[in-house]
Amino acid sequence: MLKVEDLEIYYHQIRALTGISFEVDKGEICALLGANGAGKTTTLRAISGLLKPFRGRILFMDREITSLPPHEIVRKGIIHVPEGRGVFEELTVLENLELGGYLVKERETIKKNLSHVYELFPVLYERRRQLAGTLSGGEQQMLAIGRGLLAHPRLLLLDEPSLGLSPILVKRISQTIKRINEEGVTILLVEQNIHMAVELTHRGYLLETGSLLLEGEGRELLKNEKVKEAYLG
Amino acid sequence: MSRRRLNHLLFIALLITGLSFYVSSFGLIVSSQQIINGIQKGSMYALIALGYTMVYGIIRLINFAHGDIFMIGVYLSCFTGELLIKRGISGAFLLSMLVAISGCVLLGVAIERVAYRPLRDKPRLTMLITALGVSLFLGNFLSLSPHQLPFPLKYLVFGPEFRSFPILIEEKTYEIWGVILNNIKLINLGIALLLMIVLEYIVKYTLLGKAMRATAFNKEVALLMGIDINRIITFTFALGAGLAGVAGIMYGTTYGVLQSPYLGLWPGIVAFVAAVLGGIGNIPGAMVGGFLMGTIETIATSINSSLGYGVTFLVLILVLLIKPQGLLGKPTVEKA
Repeated sequence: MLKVEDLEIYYHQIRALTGISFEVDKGEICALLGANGAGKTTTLRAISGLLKPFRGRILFMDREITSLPPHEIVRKGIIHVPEGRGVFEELTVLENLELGGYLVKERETIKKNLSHVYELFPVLYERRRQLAGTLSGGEQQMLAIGRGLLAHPRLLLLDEPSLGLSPILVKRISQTIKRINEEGVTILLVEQNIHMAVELTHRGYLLETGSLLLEGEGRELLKNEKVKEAYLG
Repeated sequence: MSRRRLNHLLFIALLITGLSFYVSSFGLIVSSQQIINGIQKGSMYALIALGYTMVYGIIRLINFAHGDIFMIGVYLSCFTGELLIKRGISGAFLLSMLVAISGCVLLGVAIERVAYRPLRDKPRLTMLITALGVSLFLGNFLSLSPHQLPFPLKYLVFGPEFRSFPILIEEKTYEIWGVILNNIKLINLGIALLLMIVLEYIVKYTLLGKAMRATAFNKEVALLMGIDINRIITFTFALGAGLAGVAGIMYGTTYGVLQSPYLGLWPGIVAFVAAVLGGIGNIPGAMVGGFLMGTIETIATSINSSLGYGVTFLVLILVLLIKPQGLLGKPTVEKA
């Protein structure tokens, strides 16, 4: 579904990615693992068009999307839920969700997606008139994911959905991610919390300082020495 | 409205009352007439201030060319009005306003495209200096004398001389409780209030308005929502410039004279101070600030005809010293 070929990216003068290639298959949850600074977020930002690659190609459903502006990429069905949640704190919960469906023209679809999101996260319905900035960290994460769902994604890029959440919330979020996936959304997950990641994912890639180290199946990854090294030092 | 905001408004109200008592002790009376005049002038400042504040909100730029966009609105409505009256076409007021609005919108959008967009990723100071340059260019270029210029250019300039604004609406005066009102001022005030309500509706309730606020809050996340932020920025400039165009015809109908193409400078500065007073980036703040500045300037001018200028800058200095975030703005930490 998504194919990244030989992606090389510079941040100013510094090479953040040294030419990585990987694939995400339709229907799976795929993880990008790695320590801080390995280039995971950079990879997501390149896929969603926020960063222009220096070299390499990104293909989505066999069409090249490398040089497209972010809003065109959203239109194709790739939705990026950014790290640190990135909700619009000065807008209400409902306004945040509506903006998630910015490119969806049909009112009916928006209504349907909205009630689906409310069903997944009932707390968002209760707080729909509140400013997003008044939500707790966990609720903001739910809002960020819910907002992503409003655009009717085919591929959801999730950047550190467990960041700063309590273990109970992490469990709830990961159950929801699983459910979203079962409903037919392909997911590319970037995660520091390796236990959460391997529980969820079918397949994962390990990144280290800008290059791809290895590929493995969910739980298998945990046994790998390199993975242990990357996460436990 | 929160209690703190209410307190600030009360504070300002007290300040004005105090000032008027002080003034009246000198034997001069701040009459309700001056307040009415101030509100009318203030509605014009508020319309201009909205353009400053919206543009600042979305790209953090003080668009110094905004006063000159307003000036072009004055001239465009003047020329259109003259032409229509000469031809005897009715509805000159509304048609001139439409021409002023469209001309200003096109110019505002063009300035953003040509002068600001290429500099968006550069340090903010670069764009600010460019804005000053655009402002100086417009004022000076349009002040050139047509007969000194070669063929195509001579039709583009306004010339430096005085012009009188055509009479678009027959003036009628009314007296209510000793206050003299005229229909032109009332029409202008009504239009200004109506536009402010429409603007508030657009920003608050339409998807485009929500996208504007989202883009102002966080551009990168706005991009991830599929918002084409270039379109939103263009739309913001168009809105601001259109309001300046309306302020332009208000200026013409109220004062009746066009001094020179530098005439946008002073209203531009007052409106900028109004935007800062209300809290730059804050839309209701610009409206409140505009009305306050109009009133303050009118009262100061009535004491001494050249006091208005000084008091405007005094307000700016006081706001920056005491409450730099403005009356309705939130305190923020300036990032480098």
